[in-house]
Amino acid sequence: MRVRLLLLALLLPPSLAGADPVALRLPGGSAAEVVVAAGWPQQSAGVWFTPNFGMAMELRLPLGTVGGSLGGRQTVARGRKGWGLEVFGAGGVSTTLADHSIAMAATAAVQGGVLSKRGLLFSVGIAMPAVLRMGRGPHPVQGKLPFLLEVHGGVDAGPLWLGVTASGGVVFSTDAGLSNAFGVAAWLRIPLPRFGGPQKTTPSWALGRT
Amino acid sequence: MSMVRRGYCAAALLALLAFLGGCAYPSPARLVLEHDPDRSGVGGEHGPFGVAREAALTTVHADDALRYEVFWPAEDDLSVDEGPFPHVVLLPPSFATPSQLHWLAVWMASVGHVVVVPRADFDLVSGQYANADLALDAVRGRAVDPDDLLADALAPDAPGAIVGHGTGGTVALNRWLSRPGLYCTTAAIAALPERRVVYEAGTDRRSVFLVGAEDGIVTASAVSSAWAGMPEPSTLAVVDGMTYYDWLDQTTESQRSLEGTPTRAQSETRGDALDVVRAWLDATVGDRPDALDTLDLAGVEVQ
Repeated sequence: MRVRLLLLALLLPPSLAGADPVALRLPGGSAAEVVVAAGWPQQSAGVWFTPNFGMAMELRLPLGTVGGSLGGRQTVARGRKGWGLEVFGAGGVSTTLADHSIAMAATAAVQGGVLSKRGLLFSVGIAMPAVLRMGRGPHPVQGKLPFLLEVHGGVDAGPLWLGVTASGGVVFSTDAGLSNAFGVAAWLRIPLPRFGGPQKTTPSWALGRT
Repeated sequence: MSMVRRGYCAAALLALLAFLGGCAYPSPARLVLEHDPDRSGVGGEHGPFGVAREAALTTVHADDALRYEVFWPAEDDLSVDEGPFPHVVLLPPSFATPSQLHWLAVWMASVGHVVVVPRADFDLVSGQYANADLALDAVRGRAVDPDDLLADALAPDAPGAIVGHGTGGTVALNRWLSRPGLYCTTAAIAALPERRVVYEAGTDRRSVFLVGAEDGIVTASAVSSAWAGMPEPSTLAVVDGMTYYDWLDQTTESQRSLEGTPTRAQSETRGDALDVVRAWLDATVGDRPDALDTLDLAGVEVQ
């Protein structure tokens, strides 16, 4: 248990992070779990305390923001062949590292996916992680509204899930108008140790497979 | 070790590496060239000013950090050397780092300009056009802060210059056209303007096209054809014997193999090119409006 606590503590440096909770938007588990996504530009580590409520910590490279988010998800459709649809919402607060100002984020996302009998996962989603920043500098108030298409691929690796995520889209920001955005990340989902041992975290929207 | 424990180890390692990987920027200001009143700033020689450099971050798009470098005429204690100075935004080409054009940034600062060099994510200048304006905004903001090292470095609200090499030059032309309040002039080095863009709005604001006669990437003939369609006043300068990669430091053999061998020494071609840059800056943001018209260099064909 001490080793697990120590390793969880090592996740805390990026927990000084926030804004866009990429880790929580990964294809969702049906049990409590730890999720980590590392890539560009987001580094994100989170915990789903229950299948529907989680917390994430974020670092946006290159040293953009650090902070934290709370999020929730809900399966809204589930098919018998392993497909499903999920909605996601989150809110967070972060600080920018360049000028130590405060940024608030609100994220809405929807994701649909399918889990094959062989344990391969594929899902596609749309995410809008909006951010409002207030602080110093030539643009003391900045806002942005991204519109991102996200593609997730994962594989069942015993008690773990491993995968990759790619996203791309357009961003409207008050200081630069329209621009493009993209991101990539490798991710890992680990069941959170609980009473009775780790539980398998099959995506909740895929539980309808018969 | 169980699979779950290995998973925790991997997760912790990923998180820590990601965190540490983000800590390379910024770097503090330091003097990169000492003041020397005997330097002329002609023929490739630095100008008389000392030059300081700082790598910094500014927040853009609400939660992104834009990396930029700024070079300024500096005293030995890094304070600004009796500003204000005109600004020049310098854009490297895609897939090149700002350090490959440090020599040009240092030289422009040594002859009395504040040089701002934004760094695009993945060094892809195309698609990140606004970086130039946002980095300049950040430096302008610092110049009006009396507690900042760059205090009084720039004249408030005065437009300056923007210069770029390769795709950086294409972006420089775009920003010059789009933001006349920031840039009154532009120099496109080994660069072509964007197709399907009408540049007439740039009339009465000088543009300069600079290219090496031996450039094998963006040829002098292509630049000459593009230049012919630009609004007046516009100047074309072709540097004899110069190639595309003569403009960049730290090039590789494979890059060099993409074009022919330069027919003159790099120190000579860069010297001639810098004399053109000097004349352009003096004529547009300096105090010699006729500097380009009177330019007469043996190694440069000027039109």
